[in-house]
Amino acid sequence: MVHLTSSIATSLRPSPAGAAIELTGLRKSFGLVRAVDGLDLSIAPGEIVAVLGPNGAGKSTTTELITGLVQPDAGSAQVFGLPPRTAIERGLVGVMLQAGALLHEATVRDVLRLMHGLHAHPLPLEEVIERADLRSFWKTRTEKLSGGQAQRLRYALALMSDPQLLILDEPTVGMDVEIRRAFWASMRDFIADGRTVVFATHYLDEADAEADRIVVLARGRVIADGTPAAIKTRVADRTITLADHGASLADLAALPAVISAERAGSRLLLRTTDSDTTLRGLISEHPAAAEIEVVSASLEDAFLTLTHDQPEEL
Amino acid sequence: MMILTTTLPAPLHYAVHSTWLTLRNFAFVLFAVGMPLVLYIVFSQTFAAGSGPDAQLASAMIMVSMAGYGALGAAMSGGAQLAMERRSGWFRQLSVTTLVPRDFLLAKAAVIMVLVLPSLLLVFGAGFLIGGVRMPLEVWLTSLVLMWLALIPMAILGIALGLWVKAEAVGGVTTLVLLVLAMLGGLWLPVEMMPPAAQTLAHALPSYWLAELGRWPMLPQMAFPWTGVAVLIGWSVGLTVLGALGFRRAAASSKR
Repeated sequence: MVHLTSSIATSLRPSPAGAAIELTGLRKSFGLVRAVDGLDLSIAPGEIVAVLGPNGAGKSTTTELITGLVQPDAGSAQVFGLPPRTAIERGLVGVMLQAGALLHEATVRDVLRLMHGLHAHPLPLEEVIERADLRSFWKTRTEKLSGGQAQRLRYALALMSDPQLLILDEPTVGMDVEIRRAFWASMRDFIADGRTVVFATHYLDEADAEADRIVVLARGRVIADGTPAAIKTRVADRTITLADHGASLADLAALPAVISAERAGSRLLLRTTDSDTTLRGLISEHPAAAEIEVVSASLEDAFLTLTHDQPEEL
Repeated sequence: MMILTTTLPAPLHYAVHSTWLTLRNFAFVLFAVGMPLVLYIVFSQTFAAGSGPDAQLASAMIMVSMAGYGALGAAMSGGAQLAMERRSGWFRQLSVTTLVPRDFLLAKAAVIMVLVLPSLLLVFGAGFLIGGVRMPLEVWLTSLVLMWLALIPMAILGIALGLWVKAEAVGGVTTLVLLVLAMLGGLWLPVEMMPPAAQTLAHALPSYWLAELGRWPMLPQMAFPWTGVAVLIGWSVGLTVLGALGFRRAAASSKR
């Protein structure tokens, strides 16, 4: 039987001072592409932060800069007041890379044993296995794992260093609903003693449920930063479309909860934070409104409104 | 369930586990160990049959060539493995541990130096058991140690190829390099049977000197091949520079 108490090493280590992550004027380009373009961000120890943003917003590059996998062109990244590489070597950081590779031609057990010896003060292997729930596929070769199993192994690799800061790049991709729930339950248990978590995700509901702070990235910089409740009032979660009955866009944009209104071909398109309220207003003020449809906004759609507030830079 | 945890320094821990995993790999054992062993047995029974001193010497020469060929193959497969690990992102995964990338590459080179041993030892063993090679113990040992040391530039070559060549191409490229080095370096046919231009080229190749150093203890009238030592050191230095450039390129483009 394994007791899931945090290892002794955690309490013996001097507690890291200052911000868990401090990014200042961070810039990184790949060729002509500005992946990260003047990013400022400070994350305090113990925070659980979701990083949201459309594809190409710079989420993965930011993860790589925080973990020292790539060097910034300008600005600085510090982790617990240390350069990223030093923080990694001291075992302060655990990382779950997006689609992070697993060693081929090896079993889950081989991979864990190999990685276990490469950390400064690793968690006991038994505890890692228990927390990531790997027991049932312990002897399976990595290329035969399902998407969800592979993610659990990547999660195990992130826990291995007994980190104070966990960085998870889209951790629940490939997991079904049940496993996703179990994953977050395990995560909450692991961080209960005040560890810091930063996770990138595509799912707004996941960010809302698991994070106490949401940071929205677009074009390599922070465009919104606040509590999930505050962020949700600024992003559209529904899109209402209707046949174009000739109303002015300004009138439509003035309807309750509407963020933006536009013409798209023969239809009008309203982005709203609360479709019920908008619909009531629409029907009472625009009796001619017809062929009304309400669809959930995709995350990309939702952030369009936020990203539109930003002046386009060339 | 037994759980093996070690308290070795990270690079050594990595090298030990990585070596063990490769030795368990069927394809590696088949191509880098099994094939040279079979080739040695076939060639020695065909071209060095009989029990006279001439046959025995011929058998020993073929033994050195095939052991060298197998070891070269093992070094190349180590490089191919690195390219695959870079492509799959395993290199990046390792980079978020205490193992620094430079130590990772040194550990990889150390792994290759261990992985070349089975082909050397087994082909030499077959030389004694099947090929009828009889020599004083110190000749066996000197030959083995010289060949092992001569494989250092080939291990570095494997690493450099693994850093420069894409995973999609690395299988073909390492096979080609292996065949070219084996053929032009005289591991398949004695260099003396080649046209003069090819002979000159052979004298610049590490694979030729690998075999020469292996044969030197067996041929009392042969002078120690200092030229070969210089050529091997030259290759080692050049390939280390090439590898370092490849590493910088891989790191800069985040294509670790």
